[in-house]
Parts: sequence; structure tokens; C-alpha cells
Amino acid sequence: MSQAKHLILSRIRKGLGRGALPMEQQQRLHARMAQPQRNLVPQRAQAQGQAAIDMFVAMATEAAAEIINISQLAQIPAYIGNLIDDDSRPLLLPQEPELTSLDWATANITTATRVAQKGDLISLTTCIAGVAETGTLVLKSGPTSPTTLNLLPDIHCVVLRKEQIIGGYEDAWDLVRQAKLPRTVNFITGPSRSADIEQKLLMGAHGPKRLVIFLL
Amino acid sequence: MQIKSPQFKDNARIALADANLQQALDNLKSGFPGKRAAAIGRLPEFDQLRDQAKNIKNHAIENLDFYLETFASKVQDNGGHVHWAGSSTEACQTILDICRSVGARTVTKGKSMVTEEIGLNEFLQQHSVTPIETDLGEYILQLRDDHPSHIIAPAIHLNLPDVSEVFAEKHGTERKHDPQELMQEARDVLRQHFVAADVGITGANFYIPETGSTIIVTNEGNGDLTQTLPKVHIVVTSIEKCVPTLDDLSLFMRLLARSATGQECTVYNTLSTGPRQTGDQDGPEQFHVVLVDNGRSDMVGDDLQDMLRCIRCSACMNHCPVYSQIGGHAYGWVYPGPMGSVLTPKMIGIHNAGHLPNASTFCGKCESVCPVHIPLPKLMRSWRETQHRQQTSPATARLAISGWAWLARHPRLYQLGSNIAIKAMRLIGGKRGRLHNLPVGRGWTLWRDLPAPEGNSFQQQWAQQKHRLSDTGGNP
Repeated sequence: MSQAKHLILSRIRKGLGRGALPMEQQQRLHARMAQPQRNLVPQRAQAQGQAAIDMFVAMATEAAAEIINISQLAQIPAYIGNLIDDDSRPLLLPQEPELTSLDWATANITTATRVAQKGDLISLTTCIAGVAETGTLVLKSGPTSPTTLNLLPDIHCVVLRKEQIIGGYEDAWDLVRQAKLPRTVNFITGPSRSADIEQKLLMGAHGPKRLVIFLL
Repeated sequence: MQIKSPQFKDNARIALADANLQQALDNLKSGFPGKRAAAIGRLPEFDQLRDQAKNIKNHAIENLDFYLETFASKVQDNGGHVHWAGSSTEACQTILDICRSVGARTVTKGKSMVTEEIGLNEFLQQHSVTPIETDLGEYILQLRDDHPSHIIAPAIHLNLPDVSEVFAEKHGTERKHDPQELMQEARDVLRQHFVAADVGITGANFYIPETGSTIIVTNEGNGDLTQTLPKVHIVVTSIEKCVPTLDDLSLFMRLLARSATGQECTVYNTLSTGPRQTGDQDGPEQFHVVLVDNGRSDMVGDDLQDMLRCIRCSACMNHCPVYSQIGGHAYGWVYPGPMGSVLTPKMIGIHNAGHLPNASTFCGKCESVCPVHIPLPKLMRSWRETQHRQQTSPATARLAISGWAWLARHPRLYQLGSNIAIKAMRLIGGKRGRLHNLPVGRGWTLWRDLPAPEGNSFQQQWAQQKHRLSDTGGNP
């Protein structure tokens, strides 16, 4: 054990007036972590069904995300064509067939499946959930979903299915815990912003300047 | 960072006369408190969440040794590295060693008050590693060779022309007056740094023993880029920032942004667990966590233990009548406002920071808005008691308090004395009922009149009421 670690733990134990925790107390605490209990979940975070969808849309819109209702994925290329205008930079996609297989050519959009780099204009990703209580998207990193797609391009588009909308953060943790925790979990609520100059809110600080949600 | 807390009184006097600062502070007063109130108004369960958050933080501190070790072993299980640092120097050296191990020349930084506390930037610079702040406010300050005056709005003491000027000077660009253009300029400049940096350093708002994760919250996305693009991610966090499980974290996610900026939720809440995993195309190859103590373990079990619950939301300073008049720099060190007045004496010594716990009217607003119910006035009072015991408070104050204490133990004399004083003050106050000049209270009367007492003393009124009650058989 490093000297610093030893000293820090000793001082804490001295302050608490005890030695290392007794085994049974340690087991109780391990159990508390192994079967985590929810604390008070606000009424608002318990919304379900259409109420949750309505709340998600209202809260995400309030956070300056743009919501586009679609009935099928095939509608997306046309919308993205409008967003890109005549910019020739490629649309970045994750290696997810449901997105790469869309008809991008007809909409005259070039695509690339790679991590994002400086200078990239736009990405389209999926997500694992939308949290109704604050209009928050939940995204996981993984081999087919690089985190840079969520952060570097000027415009980040996300596909969210209505059945992915959950009430509160607790529901998101349940989803995250279903598999090994990824390197990164991003909770994203609206586009990047800063109020560091005279406390006036400005959009588009370092992350995407626009967050577009295709609600399916 | 140079300690200027001993000059607090001069700092405050200068701040009050600084028109630019006063203009900048108006932005604080007209912003955060109202936004916080509105956000809380929309969450009826807010007070219950605060109570639970307080209990969870207390639970975490009471088992802090266990949670620290559990967290450390989880980080290692996830493929990360944990470093324990007792002091600022140990923490800085550890971070430098990691930077050197990968031959780092530049490091990008997300906003972190702990790295301010340990003086990391100065240390790295002295050892030929260039730190680059990426939070817009922190970046502006770094260009100006300045320090944060607020824990979440670091450049709150500046106005637009200050930013225009320093950008034009340091970037060699034309002077811009539109804040949006200035921000775009910073975005362009920092983007180069984000992708070029060898190491990214962030703080952590919380660490989670359940999963071995750390979490940062940002609005700009700067901390998130800082920890995603370089090969190495170093998290610098202090030992008390423990929230045992992800479910416990939900509580704090609901409290933090609302208490801080009055947002429903910060734009980016990013959970980091270890380095990039097999198959990942981006993310850091190395994940290090530096656990900084720097005096905190000594607070466990003493009067200041409650302070270890602090989640650095800044609500206390946003609502403080003293902070909002003098700003953060007057406090003379890293942590300003009520939370700083409690923490700073512990970190730089009460002999350096003696003025801070006295710079409070004890109006109690800080405690009333604290999301984890830290009794800040009580903790400041405890520092005053320490000063009294150590005889480091002003001799006149000690004499006055001792005199009052003696009188209070002699009720007849006390009553006689106060009756005489009331009559005398009324006499001097005359028809206007105000005193312009008090020989023993010039600190007050130099700036404003003291109202003369209008009625009888409390004790006299109490006696009269008792008398009346006995006449009416106890019915008021």
C-alpha cells in the first residue's frame, strides 16, 4: 500500500474513531451497491407512455434541441440534406446498418463511418434512451458508436424511438447496468452553450451548435 | 496561487470602489438567484431530495475509507490507475509524472477547482508542460494571467471589453465586440488544442464506488472533449466527492444544476469508466484517477465534517450579500463566498484567512439555499470561536465580548446598564430618533445612522407581560 494511501485512510479512521470497518458492515455496504435502491423519484420522473413522450419533447425543446417527428427512418436523408445545404463535407455515421443502409445517394449526401475529427460538420447517431424529466438523451460509447460523433461536429443528429423514452435517470441507469459499463456514457440535454461572457447565454461553445432529434 | 486573504479588508475596500467589478457583479445578482428559484419551483420534491442527499453524503463520509478503497479497486478492475495524494505537492508531482511517462508537452484541462487548489497550472509550467484551460471562462482568465473569482462562473468579475481586449492581444486578431464572435474565436483556437494535446485533465463532480466511474458536468462540452481526444485522461478529484451508487447520483444530478445555474439539467453529464475498451475507435488509452486529500481527512470527525458534504454548486456565494458586493477575488484564495470562508482557513491556515469567517452578517441565506444543508454560519462561528480561544481575533473584540459575557452573568447589573443605555441613546437620538455618531461604533455610524431604541427592553416587556397575565388569570 502506498504511503499516501495508508496515511489518508488512517486519518479518516482516526477521525471516525474506529479502525477498518467490521466485515459484516463491509458486506452490508457491498450489498447496498450490488442491489442499488432508488431514492425518492420525483413525480415528474415517473411519467410513462404518451405523458413521458410529451414531457420529453417539451423539456428537450426548452433546452434548445430541435425535434423532427418522423414515421420511418427513410425520411431522414431528406431532412439532413436540408441541414447540410450545399456543404460538401461528409455526414458521419456509426457502423450501424440501420443508418448506413439508408438511401443517402439520392439525397446527394456523402457519408463516412469513422471517428469525428476537427472540421467535421455533421453526424447522425442512435442513442439508448431519452429521459423525459429533463429532455435528456443517453448515449453509450462502443465499437460502433464512437463518443467523438456526439461532441465534435457542429451539428449532432440523433435518432430516438418513442419506445426508448423513459421517465427518469433511474431508468437510464437500469439500462446502462444491463451490460458491462462502457468507457463513456453521455447524458446530453440540448446543444453546447456558455454564459461565461457577462452571464449572457450563447449557444455553440465547444460541443455541437445544434442538436437535432429525429423522433420516430 | 498567491495567498491574499490576509489583505481581505483592503481587497474588499478596493472591490467596492471598482466600478467595472460592480457592473460585472450586477450580472450575478440579476441572474443565478432568480433562475434557481424558478427551477426549484418546478420541482416540488426539491426539499425532500435535499434531505436525502444530505443523508447520503453523511453516509458516504462515515464510511469514506471503505468507499475509497472500493472505488480504487473498481477503477483498477476497469483497467484504470489510481494515485493517492496526501498534499498539493504530491498531487502535482503525480500528475507531472504521468505527463512525463507519455512525453506530454501540452495538456488540455476541463474546469476543475481542485487543480486550482493544488496550483497545478503553475507547477506544470515550471516543469515544461503547457496546460491549456478549455472552459471559456477559464481560458479567458488564463490569457489574462488571472484566477477564477467564482467556482462555476470563473470570469464573472470581467466585462465584455476585457474579453475583447485580451483576445485581440493574445490571438493577434482584430478586436471583436460581439460575444458570439468572441466565443467562435475561442472555439476555433481551442479546437486545435483539443486534438493536439497529449493528455487531458478533468476534475470530477462525483466518483461512484459502485462502478468505479467518475462524472463531470459541463455546459460547453469542453471537459468532455478534453477527456475523449487525448491518449491519456487524468481525473483529479478530492476524496470527499463520493456518491456510492448511480441511483444515489440521480439525486445529485437533480440538485446540482438547479442549485448552481438554475438549469433543469446541465447540457453534458459524462460518466467515465476506465480507458477505451476493446473495439472502441476513440477514447483515451489510459485512465488515471488522482485522489487528493489536502487536509480533508483531518476534517473527518471534527467541527468541519459537515463541510465535506459540499458539492461545489455555488448557491451559497450566489445568494451571499457579502460576495455579491465584493466578488470572489477579495477573499484572496481559491474558494470564495461562504463555503470558502469555511474551507479556506482549513487549507491555508486561520492565521492567513482569519478575516474570512468574520466577513459574514450571519443572515443565513447560504445555509437556506445549500442543497446538502451545510450549516455554514455555524461553521464560520466555529472558526470565530477558534480565533477567540487562540486569541487571534482583535483584542478590542475579545475585550468587548468578555465584558458582555461578564455582564450577562450579572443580570441586575445588565438590566441597570441596558436601561441607562436605552435612555441615553434616546436622549442623544432626539426627535429624529437616530444617532449620527457613536464613539464605540464608528464602523457603523461612519456609513449610516443607528436608530435609537424605541420601546422598552425585551426584559422589561417580558416582565410587563407576565404582570398583565397574572392580573388576567393567565389569559392574554
